[in-house]
Amino acid sequence: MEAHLDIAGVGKRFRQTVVLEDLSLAMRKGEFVSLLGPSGCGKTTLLRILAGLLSPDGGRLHLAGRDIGRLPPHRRNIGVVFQNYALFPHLTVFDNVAFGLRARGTPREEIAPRVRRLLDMVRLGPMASRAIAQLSGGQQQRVAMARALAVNPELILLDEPLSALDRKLRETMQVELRQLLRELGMTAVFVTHDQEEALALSDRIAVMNAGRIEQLATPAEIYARPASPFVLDFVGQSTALHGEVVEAGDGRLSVQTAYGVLRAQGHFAKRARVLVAVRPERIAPRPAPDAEWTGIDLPLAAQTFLGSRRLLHGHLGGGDRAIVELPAETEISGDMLPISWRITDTLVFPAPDVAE
Amino acid sequence: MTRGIGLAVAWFALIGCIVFLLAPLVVTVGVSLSPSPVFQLPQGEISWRWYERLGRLDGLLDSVLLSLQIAAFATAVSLVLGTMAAIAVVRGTFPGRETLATFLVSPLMLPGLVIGIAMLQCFRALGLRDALPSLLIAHVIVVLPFVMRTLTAGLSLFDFSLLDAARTLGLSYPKAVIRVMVPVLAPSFITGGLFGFLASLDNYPISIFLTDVYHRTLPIQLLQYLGESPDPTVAAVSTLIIAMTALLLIVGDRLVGLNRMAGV
Ligand SMILES: Nc1ncnc2c1ncn2[C@@H]1O[C@H](COP(=O)(O)OP(=O)(O)OP(=O)(O)O)[C@@H](O)[C@H]1O
Ligand SMILES: [Mg+2]
Repeated sequence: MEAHLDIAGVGKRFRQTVVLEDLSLAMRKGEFVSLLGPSGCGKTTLLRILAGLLSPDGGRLHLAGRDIGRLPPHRRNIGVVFQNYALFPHLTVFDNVAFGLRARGTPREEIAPRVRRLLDMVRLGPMASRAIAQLSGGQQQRVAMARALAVNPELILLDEPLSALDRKLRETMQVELRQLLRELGMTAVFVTHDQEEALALSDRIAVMNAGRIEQLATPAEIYARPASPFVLDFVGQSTALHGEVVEAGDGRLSVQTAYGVLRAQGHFAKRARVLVAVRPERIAPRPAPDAEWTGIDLPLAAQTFLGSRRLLHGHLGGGDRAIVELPAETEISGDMLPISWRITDTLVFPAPDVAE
Repeated sequence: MTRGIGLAVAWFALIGCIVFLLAPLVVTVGVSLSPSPVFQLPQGEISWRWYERLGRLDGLLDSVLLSLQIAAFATAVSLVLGTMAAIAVVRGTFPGRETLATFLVSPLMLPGLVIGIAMLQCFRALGLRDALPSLLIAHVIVVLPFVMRTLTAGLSLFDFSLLDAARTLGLSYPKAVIRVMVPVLAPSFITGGLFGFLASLDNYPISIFLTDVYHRTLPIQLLQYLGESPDPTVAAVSTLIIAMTALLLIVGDRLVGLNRMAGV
């Protein structure tokens, strides 16, 4: 099946600094893909290139079978929700939402019903004649959504649309936003640096780092099978121990770490430097019961209570870290805790360069 | 106790200032309504004779029209040039843009006399001897700083992502500027344009170097009348100018708000 949006080999540099490097991404119609990455990794730059507000140094862009690479923004039919919303302060809510329709010369009698319908969808019907300055942050966000959707774009780009809202509101808006886009069957690229948001909303997540996509996969896969130490670190929490492969064969490994020998799965040469990792909820607070499990004795540093669960933080040195998630009622005593996990839950990566 | 005295002094100073500012205006209006042929406040009786004389005054209408034309032209040109220059100054990343911004408003700080002499010499050097183009160019320099000042202030608060938004919604760049930037910056345009227009209308020290017999701007014409036949006709003209200015300010206030106009 042909991709609805096809980004192929897009690059961008500002003077010497490479901001996007040979980036490719294909999306199905109706798909919701998050661009997740740290500040400055090029998320906004990619969105601006897609919208036509910035020209890439190379690469091709196709949307709905059309080559849009050379089209100016007003001919691309892509809706954008800007990070600061960029609502027109001199216009009412209604006129903001109608702006795109008017710009396209939509007949007057079609504009009003369409704007009303969108305002109802974002639950702002009664606010149509308000000025922008009279709206709360959440309401402004919804106006921005309605305005971008009013022209029925082929693709909507959202640049951290919820980051200006407080946590509680953000969670409600996440659900609303997702429902709205799903109802409309809208293809969406959603920029965020909040991994929970990306995990909660996306069909697929593109984890970006320094202008490249490190991994493009479903949220479950990203979490369970991170493709690199960067993804492991950026999405979710993890225990991660550096070590050296001391035995290897049949896809089985033994890794010498500062806290003992761990067994794991993978194909590495003997003597290879590796990083062994495991997600916190995969860990049990007991010694390895059988050969399917592996574990260490963890010196405890601190606990964080999270309501239904608690997190135990290990006291490790040398770039190692450990975090264990347990049900809140689990009794822990002493400052040493034997912990273990299934060998099949172990993640092994080539050790990242020391510089990191 | 000392606080009471301080307050009294402050009030006194304030009232003094208001009287000081208003007195000339009141006197001018008064004189224009007095039947006496010398400058004198009306003694009981009010007369419109100086206003009637206005129509018969030689060259007055011409100078009014000339001044209005020059002011309108200079304001229009300054609004376009000033907007572009202000965008460059606010958005640009080139070295020396601070200096450029200061330079562009510097005519506000220089004595008009200096600018007038400089322009005269400059035009002569360039071979420009016609009064009208010289006046038009010079008055652009009178108006531009007003426009620059309000527009750089307005633009530095302008969110340029509004233009991006308008473009993704279906407007080409020039249309986005007209449909979004112009209305959002309307207060700056109105304020800068209005003060610039009035400054041009009022300008004497620069114009005086550039006029000829056929092109006398209003202030120059008025001063000449005053020299030739000092009767209250000049006061009548002044009164009309005061009325027009007040009208413009009221319109500006309606559109923008007087506080904001005075502020930027
Ligand atoms: N106009 C520009 N000139 C020079 N460098 C730029 C320009 N725009 C962006 N950059 C650089 O490109 C890099 C990527 O910027 P971008 O805005 O895409 O990051 P981002 O991933 O959106 O980050 P954030 O999460 O902070 O919004 C940054 O290092 C930034 O400094
Ligand atoms: Mg960004």
